[in-house]
Amino acid sequence: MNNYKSLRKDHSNRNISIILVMLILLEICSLAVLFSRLTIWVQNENENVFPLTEKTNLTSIKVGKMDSDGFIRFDESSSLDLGADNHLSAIDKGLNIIKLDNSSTSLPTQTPPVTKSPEDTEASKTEIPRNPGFEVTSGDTVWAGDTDVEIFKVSYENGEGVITVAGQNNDKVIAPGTNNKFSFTLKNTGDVSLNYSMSMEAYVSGTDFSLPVVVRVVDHDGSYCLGSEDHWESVLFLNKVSKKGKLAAERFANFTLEWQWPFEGDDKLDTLLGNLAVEDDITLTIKINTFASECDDPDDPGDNPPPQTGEDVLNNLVWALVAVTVAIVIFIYSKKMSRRKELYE
Amino acid sequence: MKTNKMLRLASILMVAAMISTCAISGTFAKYVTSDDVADKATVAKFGVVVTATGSLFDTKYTADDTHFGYSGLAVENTTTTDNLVAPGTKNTDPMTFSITGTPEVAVRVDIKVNVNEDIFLAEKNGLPDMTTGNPDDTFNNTEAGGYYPVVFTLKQGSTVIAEGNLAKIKEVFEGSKNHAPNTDLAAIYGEYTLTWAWDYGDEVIDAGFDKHDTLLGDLKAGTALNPAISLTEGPDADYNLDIDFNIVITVTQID
Repeated sequence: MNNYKSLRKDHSNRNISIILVMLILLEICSLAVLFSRLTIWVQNENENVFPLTEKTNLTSIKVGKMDSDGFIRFDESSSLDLGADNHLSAIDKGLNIIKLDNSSTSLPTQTPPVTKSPEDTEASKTEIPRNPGFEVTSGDTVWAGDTDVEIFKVSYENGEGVITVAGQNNDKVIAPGTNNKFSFTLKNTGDVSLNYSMSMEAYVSGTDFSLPVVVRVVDHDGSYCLGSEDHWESVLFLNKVSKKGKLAAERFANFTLEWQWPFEGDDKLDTLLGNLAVEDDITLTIKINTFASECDDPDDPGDNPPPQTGEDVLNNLVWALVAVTVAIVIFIYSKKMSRRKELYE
Repeated sequence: MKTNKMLRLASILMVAAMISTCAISGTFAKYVTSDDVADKATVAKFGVVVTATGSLFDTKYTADDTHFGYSGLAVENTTTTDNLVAPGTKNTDPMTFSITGTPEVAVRVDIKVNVNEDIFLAEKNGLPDMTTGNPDDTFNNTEAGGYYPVVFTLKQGSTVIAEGNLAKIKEVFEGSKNHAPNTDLAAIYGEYTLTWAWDYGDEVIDAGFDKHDTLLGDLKAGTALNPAISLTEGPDADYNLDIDFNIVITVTQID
């Protein structure tokens, strides 16, 4: 019995140990996925930083002194041999810039002084912060909260510059013969790729009659989100407009909404609406919604197929480990049950 | 046994926690933003109303003759239901026209007077004088352009803007005019009134147009003319005995 108990205890301890090891592995993978967006050290963008190199203890560099004009002059006489353990000694000597230069004859280009904190010159991994940014503009107006946009106007002119429709009290109006084009631009103002979506809404209040207003929407590459070059849709079809895409850093997507109320249409309906509007306002509202979120791949080139990244691979690995863990647990449990059965028999 | 179960439960919970951490790790610290705008407009008001009230002609008219001291029915059509006119008659219920409304669109106001017929006696010499009873008596109608007994008067508010036959009314009243958005049409046009009268004259015997009026009346009655003369009826002939016209006012949005 004691042997049986100790045997059982041994088995339990071993099972728990296996599970704990699997859990630790999962934890490590999870943390790796979570913090996988840490900035990656980029060698090219920081010339004044020691790159990770093979340690030879024979690193040879040229250093320069800053003169009164603010320039740094390099010459052969100022060469220093710095051992791997003395790479900070140049800074200790009051030299502002250390340029790594393998050539022993040519002088590097003189550059204005750049102040760097000592930490930046350490031979270590350097983080480049990502700055996502997104804005929507229409003309010179940047959308922010209750931005006043001019999809509709207070007054409209004909081809001869004569005002033919004008709202009272500076109210925006629509009438037979009126039309307008409204363009807006979604801009990625940051340095990471963004997923964006754009949708529209339209509704009429104050009457059950349908307004004879027609629309079409065209995007930045000339293709129509709604309607076509020779076909207009009813204004309520704007509720079906939905466009999604990706914007790489500093790229933009432009959309144009066109609407019109044809002058030559159903005169009776037009007149009826105009007369009904005297008693109660008949209102057409159009809304444009935009949304942007950071891409999983910050360097996504945009609306091209994104390359496979290590993050996806890592995610698959995590799920594989989870599956293996579950399988191991089931296997151990079933084996345990069978041994118990043997012992009782 | 109990300890093992607790350990197992703890393990399962930890696995679940790890799985959920892996699943949501991709959404941590993600940049998200949105912008929405809306704009609205109302249907431009129209609300232009053109009204016409009153009636110009009737089948009977009363008289209040101060000279002979007679008051009562003076003219009556007893044979048909047609409206009629006669010397001394006039309409007492003026016809009024008005254009009201302040549309938020530019409009064009068109006023059209279509004159089909008017009562007249053409300018002509040797017309039979039916007032003397002498079959040889004649008179000359020297009214330039013809004698139009029914005189129409068109007023805008209280101001007379036209007076004369229907052609004169048409000349003054007919036309088109454009108006900018938010023009108060009532202030521009106000109210028009149209009246008419066939002047009887104040004299006991008005020698001015009695012969003309009598001849027209006899022509309507079909009385034999003395001296006999061949006269044709029609809007552009020697005489006409009917009035037929209409006024059309249209307000149209301008593109």
